[in-house]
Amino acid sequence: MKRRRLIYLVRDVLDTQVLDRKKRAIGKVDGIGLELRDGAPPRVAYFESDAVTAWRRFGRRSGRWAARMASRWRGPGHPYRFPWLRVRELDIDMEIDVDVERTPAFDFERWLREHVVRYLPGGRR
Amino acid sequence: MKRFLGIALGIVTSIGGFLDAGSIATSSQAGAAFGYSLLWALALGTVCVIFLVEMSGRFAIASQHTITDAIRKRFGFPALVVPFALTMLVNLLVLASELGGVCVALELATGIGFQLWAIPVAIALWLLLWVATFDVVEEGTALLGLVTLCFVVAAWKLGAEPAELARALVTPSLPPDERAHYLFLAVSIVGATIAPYLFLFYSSGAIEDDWDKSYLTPNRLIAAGGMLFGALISMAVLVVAALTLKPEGIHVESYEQAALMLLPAFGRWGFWLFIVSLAVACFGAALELSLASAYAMAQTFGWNWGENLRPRKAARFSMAYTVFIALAALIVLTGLNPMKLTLFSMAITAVILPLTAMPFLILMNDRTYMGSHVNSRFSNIVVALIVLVAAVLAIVSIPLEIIGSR
Amino acid sequence: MRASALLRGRAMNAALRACALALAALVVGGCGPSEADWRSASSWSLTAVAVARAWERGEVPTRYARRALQKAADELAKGPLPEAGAPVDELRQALERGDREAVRQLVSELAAR
Repeated sequence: MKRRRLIYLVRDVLDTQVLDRKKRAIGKVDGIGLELRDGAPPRVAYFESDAVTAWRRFGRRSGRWAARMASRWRGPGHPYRFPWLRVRELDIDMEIDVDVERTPAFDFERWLREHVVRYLPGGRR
Repeated sequence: MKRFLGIALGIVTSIGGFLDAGSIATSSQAGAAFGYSLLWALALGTVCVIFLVEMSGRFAIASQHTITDAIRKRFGFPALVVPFALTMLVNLLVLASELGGVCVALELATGIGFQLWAIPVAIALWLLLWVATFDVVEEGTALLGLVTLCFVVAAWKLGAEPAELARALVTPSLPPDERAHYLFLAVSIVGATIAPYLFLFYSSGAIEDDWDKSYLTPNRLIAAGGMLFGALISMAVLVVAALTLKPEGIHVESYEQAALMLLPAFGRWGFWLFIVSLAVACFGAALELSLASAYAMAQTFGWNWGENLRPRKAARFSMAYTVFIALAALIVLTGLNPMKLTLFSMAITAVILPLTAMPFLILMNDRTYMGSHVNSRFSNIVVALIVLVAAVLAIVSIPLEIIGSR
Repeated sequence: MRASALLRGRAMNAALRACALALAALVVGGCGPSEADWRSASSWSLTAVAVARAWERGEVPTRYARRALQKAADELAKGPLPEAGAPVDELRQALERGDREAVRQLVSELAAR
């Protein structure tokens, strides 16, 4: 990031839209992972884009339900965590230096594309 | 010059797209049952929606966020879940009403039962969204929707007195009897005029069209002009019903009865004009509503969204509106009276309204999003007042209406 | 976090109380034909008259008139005066036969009531 700014984690980062290097949507910042260290201040370890994390914030029961659904239907790579260093821009949205097609955040999109959209008329374009 | 044409197009498409199942059902019932006396509810709803739509555009311009996106960011996921879920539910009911409206129009025209039209119409709706570019679709149906101006022509032909209308617009009143039903209709009219999907959709459109600060005035003109002239058509429906159905003692409980209202003004053409108006208005609203719901989902969960994205490029977004349309078709298939469904979903909309409007108002006053374009105190008061009053009246009148119609 | 849980709890209570009230009102209000039922019946009779007259003038197609009269007859049969459905049904049958004379006569009978 080019300039020094004061950023509030909850106000400016949490629930912000995350875009990849081609400005395509990856998801939202559903959670923030802080690393607690002995004898040193805590620091931001990663940001998390994961439905289970989001639902856990809504309530304990919904978090458990979401976790159960996720373990049944999802592949590896979740929760999707990306480190601070990948963050390129943080303004209205957060831009990170990845290709969304290579992230597990895209799994659901890819699954729908391959298993449903493909079989509907015009879905192959 | 180009900007001027853009504004004109914006206003015209807003007019053509204003009428939907909700306004047709509520206005015709109101006119048939109570004459002009419910015009104030229409005026109230229109004032509120003009404010809300203008704010919606201003919000997108100033913050470069859509409303749903910003609500999540400002209030967090947990706070968004319940309003979001309820809005989705209400949207589904309203979509079923719009779909039902198209199906009823086809039933009136062909004699084939409306339920049998549910699947074909749903498929047509879906196909249009799936393969066509949205711009063409939205503008096309909105321009076709200008046929609804026939109600205005009819009102003029039937000799509506502008002075009487003006008086009714500004004087709220309560009739001596049928009070519960009157209140219920008043609330439904407000719900029909201030559909939340409308102003949520408007902000998405503004972002898509890359509106910047230079669009502040065009936004105001489109919001005011489009909503005002559109509301004139709703008003015309009420007036025509008041002048043709009320004297005959016909209450509108079903679209079959409403179909009679253009006959005195246009003779045989009146029947077909009503059917085409109903079909086009509801179809256009159904398109917008399906997209608005898919937008809401995508912006809540952070998916790719956009009116011109091919299904392959935005699978979750496309499947969202697909599932939505399918569910709405199922509701129509159950054979529920489309007009009753419409009226109730309008009233429920009025109940849900504060859940969306209040967070939105807070955002409109937040300098981190709006910068110097925050709301004036006047705007805040107008919107907050109308929305809260409507919600309270709705909570009171819905149970009373259910009792009354037993 | 805790505040929102508290609010949700309170909202739930309020909602439950509202539902209980609504249910009670429904039970109480569910007996006997109401004002609204009578108004509805009158409206449907008048609808039948209007539809038949419009058909006579050639302003509406037979398909529509037939269905509208059927609907009116059904609604009247469900209402506080089920016998009112019978003349409307007769009207529909006359209309289906294309019998303009019979329609005209039935309409004036119906309108007189």
